[in-house]
Amino acid sequence: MKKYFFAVGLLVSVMGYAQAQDVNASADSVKAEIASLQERTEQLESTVNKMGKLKITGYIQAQMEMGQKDASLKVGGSNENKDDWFTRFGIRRGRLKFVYSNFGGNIVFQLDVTEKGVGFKDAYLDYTLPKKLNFVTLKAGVFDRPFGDEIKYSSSKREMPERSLVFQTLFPEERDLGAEIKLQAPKGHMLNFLKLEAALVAGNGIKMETDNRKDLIMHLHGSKKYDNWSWGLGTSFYNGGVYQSTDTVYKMEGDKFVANIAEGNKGKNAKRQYFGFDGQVSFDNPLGFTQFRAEYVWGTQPGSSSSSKSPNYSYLPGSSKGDAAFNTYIRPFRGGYLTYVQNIGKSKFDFVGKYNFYDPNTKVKGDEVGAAGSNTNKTDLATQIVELGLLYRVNTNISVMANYAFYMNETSANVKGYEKQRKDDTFTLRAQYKF
Amino acid sequence: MKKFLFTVAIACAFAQFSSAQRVKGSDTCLPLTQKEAEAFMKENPSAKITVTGGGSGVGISALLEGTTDIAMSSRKIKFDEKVKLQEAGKAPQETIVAYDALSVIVNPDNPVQQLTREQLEGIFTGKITNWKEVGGPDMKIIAYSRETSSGTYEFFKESVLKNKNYVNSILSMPATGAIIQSVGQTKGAIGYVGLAYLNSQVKPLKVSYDAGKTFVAPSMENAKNKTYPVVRPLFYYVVKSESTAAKPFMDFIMSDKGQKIVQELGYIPAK
Repeated sequence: MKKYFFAVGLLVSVMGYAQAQDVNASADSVKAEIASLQERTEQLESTVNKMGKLKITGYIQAQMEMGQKDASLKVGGSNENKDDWFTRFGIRRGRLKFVYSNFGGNIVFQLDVTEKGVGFKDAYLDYTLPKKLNFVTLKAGVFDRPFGDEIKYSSSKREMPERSLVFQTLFPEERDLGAEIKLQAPKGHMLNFLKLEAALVAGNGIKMETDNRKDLIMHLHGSKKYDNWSWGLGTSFYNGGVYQSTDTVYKMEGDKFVANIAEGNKGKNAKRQYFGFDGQVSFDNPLGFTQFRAEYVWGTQPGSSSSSKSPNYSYLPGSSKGDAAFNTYIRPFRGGYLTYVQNIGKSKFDFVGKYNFYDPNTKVKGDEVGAAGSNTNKTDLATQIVELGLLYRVNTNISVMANYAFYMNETSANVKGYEKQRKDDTFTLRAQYKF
Repeated sequence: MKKFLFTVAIACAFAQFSSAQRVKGSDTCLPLTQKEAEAFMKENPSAKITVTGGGSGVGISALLEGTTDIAMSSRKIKFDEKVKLQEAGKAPQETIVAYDALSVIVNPDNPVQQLTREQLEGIFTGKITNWKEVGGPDMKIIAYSRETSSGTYEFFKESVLKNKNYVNSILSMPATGAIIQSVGQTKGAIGYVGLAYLNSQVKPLKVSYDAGKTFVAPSMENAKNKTYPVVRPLFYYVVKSESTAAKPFMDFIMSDKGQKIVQELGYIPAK
């Protein structure tokens, strides 16, 4: 019997020991597994943190555009059938933006990929100074000009297909090459609602700089947000010049251009000066969000006989022969817009209405344009555009827009083709995917 | 028969999918929502609800990104957030599920029993730095706050600090539990938490919103009879066009049973 008890006791203790060994071994194994998992998690965290510094966003706007016979569309070629409406498919914008953020700074590259090719839009770096100077942000490269509100309002957010005509003319491609300083008190500070941006730029769009002149752009903007509404008000200033590539410079005197021909004119800069005001208000209400945005711009714009567009070229214009096409025409202009966006009953649909105008030469109107001896022509005629549209925000990524633009040109009996309203309305149906 | 079974299987899968819900946001709402979710899932075994915190701002961002079905928030949705949601084609629908009294807490060893709103403003904006300035011992004040993404942070700033800025040296804590722990372990500490979080580790102070004429203790009774001044609504936000899936859970919270849980946990019922 004793032997039996001894044997059982021995067996139990051996089993107990073996079990204890198993438990210890399994605890060690779990510990090792946890340590291994911890190490892998840390590695993953480190990788994810590094990846988190690089953000890639983008959007594609594919559209069908229809135009009356005289219309100028944003996609596709010109009208091959001069007597009728024409239709074009195209990628209006295909943007890919890379932002790398670290140590209070950002590096930004933006490409535009369409059927026309690959071009660049943004290439800049910015840096917010540390500690007590954190109200200062410095920027250098190619970036949006700090003038008004619509220039900076992203095309992916805009409720209508294009910016106002005045901005397309004054600021082609919206961007310029230079350096900018932004002053804004940090969040929570009582002056945080105010922002001052000032930039020195080449004044030549996104093309390379071709002369020593630098243009100054400034924008002072204040905005406040409350529970159910917000407002913004701003004022802008542009002071620069445009290279005069011949000895002949035309200025308005009364209702005609008068030439100033002097040897010293070539190589000087014609005054390019704009002033602007912008305002925005939006409020939430039972009908849905309501937004109004408006801007008014006026000033002096140098151009040529055939265009009042700002320079956007990679070389100094002109020819050694002093070709008349390169003579400088300095025009007093004005332009602006009023945009109304109304969400329809808190649904996914927005109604959009916009009025914008551009008068490239405020000194002449109607039949004065093109009058004998005035040296004016169709470039000096004003344009007004009324847009009506519907925007369907399908989800966070996708939206569909339908927009009809009524173009109303100033008429003059003295300008061929502009004696009456031209047939140049456009209709745009656009699908956008944004990520 | 095969077709029927297939249809039933699809319907079951869809029902399972549709009853799986994600709730994210305010840490103040977190214990309440967890308890409500447990009770709801007990009644509806097929339902699956996951609840995570992170702060009111995090919840509303998740609603925008589509990574939550319900956003919990201890503050009203901001104008900017509404604009972003609208731009994404999402209209937010707001429901007040409960009210919360915000309690100012100190270490239990601190003899100070009460403070006026003005004194609290002085402490949290850095003008008052020693307890002796408010009738306490000669001891440095160590102020704790929530992080900026927290709705509680913003409500306290709005209601108590009258929108003045917190002192730069304030110690920001990622969660309410961390404030309780820090105040409980630090003699000169002061912080603020929801009434439901109060425990023996910390001491709640009476507060006065009438320049010291009357001091009121944070309690369910005082919050209900509206004598305690620091009370805020707690919100759930859903996307209006996608609210059907969340409706059964929302209905449960607003039911007598759900509101009873609200009270049991130390929040003030919404109805």
